[in-house]
Amino acid sequence: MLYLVRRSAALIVVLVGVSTISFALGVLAPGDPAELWLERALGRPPSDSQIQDQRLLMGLDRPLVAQYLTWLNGLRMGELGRSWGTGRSVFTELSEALPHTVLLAVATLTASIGVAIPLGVAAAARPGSLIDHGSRAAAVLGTSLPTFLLGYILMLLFGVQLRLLPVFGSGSASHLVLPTMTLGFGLAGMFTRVIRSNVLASLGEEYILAARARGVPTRLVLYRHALRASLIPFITIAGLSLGHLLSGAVIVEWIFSWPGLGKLGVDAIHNRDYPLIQGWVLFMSAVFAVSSLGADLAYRWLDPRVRLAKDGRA
Amino acid sequence: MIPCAIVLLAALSSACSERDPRPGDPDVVPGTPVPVEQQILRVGVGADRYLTELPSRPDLGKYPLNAGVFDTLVRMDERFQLEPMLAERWTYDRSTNTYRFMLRREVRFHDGVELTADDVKYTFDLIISSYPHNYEELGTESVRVADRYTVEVTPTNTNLRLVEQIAHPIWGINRQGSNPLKPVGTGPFRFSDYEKNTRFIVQRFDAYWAPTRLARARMLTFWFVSDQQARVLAAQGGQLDLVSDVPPPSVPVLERPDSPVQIIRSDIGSFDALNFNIHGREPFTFGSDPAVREAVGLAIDRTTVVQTAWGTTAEPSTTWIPPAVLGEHASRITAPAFSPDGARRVLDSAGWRVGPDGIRQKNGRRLSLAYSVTFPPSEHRTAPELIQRHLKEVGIETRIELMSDAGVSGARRRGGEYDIVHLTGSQNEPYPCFLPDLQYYSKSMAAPTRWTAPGGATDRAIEACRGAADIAEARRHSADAIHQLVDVEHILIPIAGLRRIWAAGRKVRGFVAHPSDTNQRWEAVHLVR
Repeated sequence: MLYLVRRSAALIVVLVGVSTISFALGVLAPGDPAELWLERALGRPPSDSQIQDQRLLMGLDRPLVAQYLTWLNGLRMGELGRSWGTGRSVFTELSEALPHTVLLAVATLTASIGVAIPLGVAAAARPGSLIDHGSRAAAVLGTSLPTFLLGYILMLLFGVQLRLLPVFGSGSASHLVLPTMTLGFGLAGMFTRVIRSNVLASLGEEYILAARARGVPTRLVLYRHALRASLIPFITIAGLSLGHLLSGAVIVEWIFSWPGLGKLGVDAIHNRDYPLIQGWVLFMSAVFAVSSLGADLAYRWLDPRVRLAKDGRA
Repeated sequence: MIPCAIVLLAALSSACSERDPRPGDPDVVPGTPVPVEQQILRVGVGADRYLTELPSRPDLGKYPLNAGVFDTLVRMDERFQLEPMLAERWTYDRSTNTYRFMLRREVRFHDGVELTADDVKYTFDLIISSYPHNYEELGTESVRVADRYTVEVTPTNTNLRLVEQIAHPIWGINRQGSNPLKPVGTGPFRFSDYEKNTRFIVQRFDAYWAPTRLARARMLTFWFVSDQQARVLAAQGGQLDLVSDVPPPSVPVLERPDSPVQIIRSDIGSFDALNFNIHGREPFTFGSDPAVREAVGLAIDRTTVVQTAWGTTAEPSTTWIPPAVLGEHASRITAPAFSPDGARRVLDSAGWRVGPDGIRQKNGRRLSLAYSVTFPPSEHRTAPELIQRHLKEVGIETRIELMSDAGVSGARRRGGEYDIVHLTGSQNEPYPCFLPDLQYYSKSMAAPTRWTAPGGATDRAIEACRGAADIAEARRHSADAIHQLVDVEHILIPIAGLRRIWAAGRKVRGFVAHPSDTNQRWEAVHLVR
């Protein structure tokens, strides 16, 4: 319990720090949001007087501290401000985009785990085999290939050459496939290697030898005994990979016009939509921090040794 | 395994929803229009730039998408000429500074109600109040209904260019009292649906006032696809029928005989040019030296730059704005011809001596220009690098600053923190002085102009252009202003005239690409078998 309280307090400190930094970055970045807004609205460079009027309207004439405190006060009441690009509540913008990103993240995690488990186990069962080398090569390729490049390659292959899948948009299962493959390729490679090494380590344990000695079939030894023990550290990695999913989603959602949080963030940055950028950064940080905490807690719950060690009872 | 399963499922669903008839069908004649019910086109455009936060603003469906929902009183055709639309004719009375627009009869809005002068006044008043600073020569009292089919407009100051200015699609006529977020116009397409950042759908309006211009497509869906490459790939894959703004490097590949798409080019409608900061503060003062400006103009081989950076999608420019806008007066502007030796001579005469590293110096100061490049897509990286090389040949160093962010470039231009800025822009109005007025009129309200506008003869030419009795005379004055900027003062160095590039599926017909960013028409576009 104490651990949870301690971690939650640290989480709040992190979020306050993130909010301060994101606010500071927004206002210190070159360029005047009022001018940008006007140029977009008018389609031509605005005059000085127009810019001054717009600055007043946006509250940019007030001291930075006052702007920040207003924003924090709104935050306290659950209000993230209004988007300068659409005039709608930032919270509404984020909450409308969130389900799309969650869908993409869940699909990616599911697909990655679905690919990684059989591949990782098979590679561990036959170290040095073709499947082991192949999965290693795929993992290296997956983690080193830039996401956008992989996205274009998949578009070209499945969208243009084979004409099997749509290359942009959302709304059906087929729209989900290419973004999922793009985002999941590297992740599946990493998961495969983690499972492979964990299963391989487990296979040397005495309880595995005992199971084999009892005549338990190899398949059951691998999946019921070795894999189960290997999943505990894997859960932490899968939890932490949420960060990878969110950051990767920024590029993937942009190139596939997937209407999730990533595309929303890029659009907000392009439009210099400060309230939306601030809300977005805060929200993404919160998701990342909470998922890390969740992974830690799950790890402690699954493995009592960790709990005891951290509580100083080991 | 799971992705493979999804791919198979998707393939199956894609095959089931195949739209085109099978080639083996006996009644299929290649090249004939597909039946009306199948005339559904999918158009890929860039990011959604509508600002819907001001619900009173009657923008949706107008600029920048121009989806065919609205008609203006007059429009700008593909040759930058004025064409009567909802206004059949108009007169201007100089003594009262009043325009009279006589409206076409029997024009119906999409809800079936007839267009009247009240709708024009309603729309103009709404635009004027929505953009309080943009149309300072018009107030809500400027527009008056003379009778059911006649509108009078009296600008607050003399404005002889009003008719050319209201050709911009923002002046499309809305139905009086209609909800701007569910737009009702008189255009060849009626609004159907809009999903922010996703799509905009219009359907053919069967009661359109010009029977010869009835839309051939039953429905158009504009998809907002921000990524240029994704748009092109979607066209190649058959997910989109028509896509805008194809990146120039993709054009040669897409023009191969086996390509699934065709490339459609507009006439020249945009420009790419260098612009000197002539009133800069230290250290941005090189542009105040006429010899440096002239030498830069002479040192650049614009033919090589254009061929390398844009290939067949652009032409070397001398006139800065599209030559069609200037008509016969375009030849008045010659622009400096490529002459590295000429550039060296000019710099030598001005006291710029070649230093030990090949870069010229004068009074201990290196000739090193801050070269700011705004909004650089890929081709705008190639062009500055070539220009940099050409300038180095004559002893001018440039420090390229790529401004990928609109905020940064806007701040630099407003603050005059550059020696040369590399800009692109479009001729979006038939007003011949639209661009000189916007960028080089010293009394302009636009902040970046203070660093670039020379005043004097340029201002006089722009003012004469504003006051010209007809568009032919305005063209002459526009050519005078540009001649002053390009040939006399060397403040402006035209590099390229750019075309708008579209990619269309092989079964798309009737699409004529408009060179401007504003006046694209859609009624002729259709699909064939």
